[in-house]
Amino acid sequence: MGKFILQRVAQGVIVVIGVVLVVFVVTRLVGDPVSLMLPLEATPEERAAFEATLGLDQPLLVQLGDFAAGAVRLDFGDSLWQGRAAFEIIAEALPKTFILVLAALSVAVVVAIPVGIYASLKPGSWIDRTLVGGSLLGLSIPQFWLGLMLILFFGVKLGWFPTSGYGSWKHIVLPAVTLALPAIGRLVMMVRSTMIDELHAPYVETSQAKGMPRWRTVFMHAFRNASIPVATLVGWEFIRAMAGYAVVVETVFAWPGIGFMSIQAINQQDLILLQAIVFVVAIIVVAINIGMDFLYMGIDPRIKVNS
Amino acid sequence: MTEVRKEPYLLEVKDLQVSFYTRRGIIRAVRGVHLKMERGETLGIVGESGSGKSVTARAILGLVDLPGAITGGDILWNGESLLHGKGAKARARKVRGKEMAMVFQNPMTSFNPLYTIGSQIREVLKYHLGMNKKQGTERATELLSLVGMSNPKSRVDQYPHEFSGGMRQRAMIAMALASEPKLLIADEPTTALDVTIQAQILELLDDLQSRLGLTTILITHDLAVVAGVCHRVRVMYAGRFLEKGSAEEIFGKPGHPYTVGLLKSTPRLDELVPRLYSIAGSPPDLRLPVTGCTFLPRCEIGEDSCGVTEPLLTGKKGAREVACYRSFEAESVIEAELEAEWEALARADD
Repeated sequence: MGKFILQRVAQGVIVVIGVVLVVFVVTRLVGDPVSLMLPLEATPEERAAFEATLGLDQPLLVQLGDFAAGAVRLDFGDSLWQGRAAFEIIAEALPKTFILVLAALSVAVVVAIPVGIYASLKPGSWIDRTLVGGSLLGLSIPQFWLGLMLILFFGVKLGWFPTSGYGSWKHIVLPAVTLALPAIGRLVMMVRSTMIDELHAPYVETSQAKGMPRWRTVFMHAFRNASIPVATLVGWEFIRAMAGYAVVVETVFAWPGIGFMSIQAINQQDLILLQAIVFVVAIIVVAINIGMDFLYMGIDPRIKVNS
Repeated sequence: MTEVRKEPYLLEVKDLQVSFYTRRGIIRAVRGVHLKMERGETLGIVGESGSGKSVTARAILGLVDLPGAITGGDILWNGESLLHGKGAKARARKVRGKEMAMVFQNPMTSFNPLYTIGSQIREVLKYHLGMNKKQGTERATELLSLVGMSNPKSRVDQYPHEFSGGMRQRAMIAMALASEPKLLIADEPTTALDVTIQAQILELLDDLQSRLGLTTILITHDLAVVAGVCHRVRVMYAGRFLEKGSAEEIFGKPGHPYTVGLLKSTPRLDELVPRLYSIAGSPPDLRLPVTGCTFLPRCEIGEDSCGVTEPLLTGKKGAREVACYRSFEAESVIEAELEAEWEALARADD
């Protein structure tokens, strides 16, 4: 077990190093960060001075070494945009994204699992077809458009929720719903199809032949087996939300999370902050993946550590 | 039979009809099956895949689900209907898994892979006998040793994937016996197993049957299995029984051409044959209406007149019955045919 954890963590470290290398090389070799960050009318002296403060005059390998040495201590340097430590900005923004993603995914899981199971019990019935149609609609709606429509309707027209920003619990409702709806669509489809498969498995018939109540057959037997692919998708949704969808949703709702910050960093041409964000998000993605592996082992006794 | 029975049969199936409603048509899988089970006897139902034997078993247990449905007939348990009348559904629910239990064909997939064998047996004990976890574990261990499993104490906490095929089938039988059922239905219990394991499982079933006084229905396509274990035998084809009788009668003197064909197509060590006989063709499409004998297209002795109306089981009621217009004629015809081939072969050799 200990060996397995070490192995997975080592693999994770390699992935993070890979991500950092790509980001580092792309930002430095493709295009010139100094001309990106400085105004056009900067004099060559100003440019040289700026290069020196960022350490960009050093050889690439030295820069990389500096970055790595700093990253280990969570010291990524000062943000050019805000003039304070990049990690400080991330430490403020990250919990806000976490809250948003957790709220959205909790809603998605709580809604999608019962709905998906219900649809799977009578495949082809009008209820099933209605639910599948609704899910397809949910997962097809572009998130930025959905967010804007929710703002228009619930924020502007009805005035139930604030249109944007961060603060009371009311602020989280619209962005969380925007983030949750497509996830609900995908999850319902996944729960439904895996449940239809599992409900046809021989062990389900065994359970029925044993005279077990229907709910027990459906939840204890079929759903437990269906929960591995479902858990995989929930993990994927989490990663996608943290490292992707949050950028769109947080921008639409001006939610000061990590996604909003990364867009700001790009707009402000803040290379230091952007680098730090990519590094931290990569670590989160790797950590979630390792967590998923342990979850699988908890669900399925056949998945064993081979050491 | 003229005598008046004081006691109802343990199980009586009357004119059972089961159909499957598919996109390509209605499949009439079981078309009028009659069955009476005495307490303590073993009945063998023989037939090839698609003959309706498994569907019959599932219908008895109430496991026929959409797109299938029981469309006619009745199933009586101790004289009470499980299909019609007041309280039938509740009765069927009470009987299923408690009074009658089933052993399935594939022990590899019939256990839930995520729970230990013990906990899957405990489910039965908890729901039908109200045992708590401790009692359940104890009883499950006993049951595992009853079916001949060595080291049942550690086995009870193992997962299905830690068992071999034969072990799983033993555990399956233990689980079926957990509720102390009156009737055990075994649907091809040995088909998925190695030949040596097959014999062990059959021996176990036979032994349990006589020790516990179980009533057993054994469903198989393997005649050798039936010959060893069953008192009475039914041969099923295209959703109906074609022949019924005692095991000795049917193996000694098969009456229906289909039974003859099945017996002749089983390889034997004590008989020299020019080739292994096989029944030509395939079973009829049960979506189409039945006109005449369902076996006629494959029959060696069939005549045009066989195709008019479907033959019914006739003969001594309750004993030997054959559904054929030319019963007991096929054996000699097929034997003569094989004999002629044998001679032709011998001549060619000379």
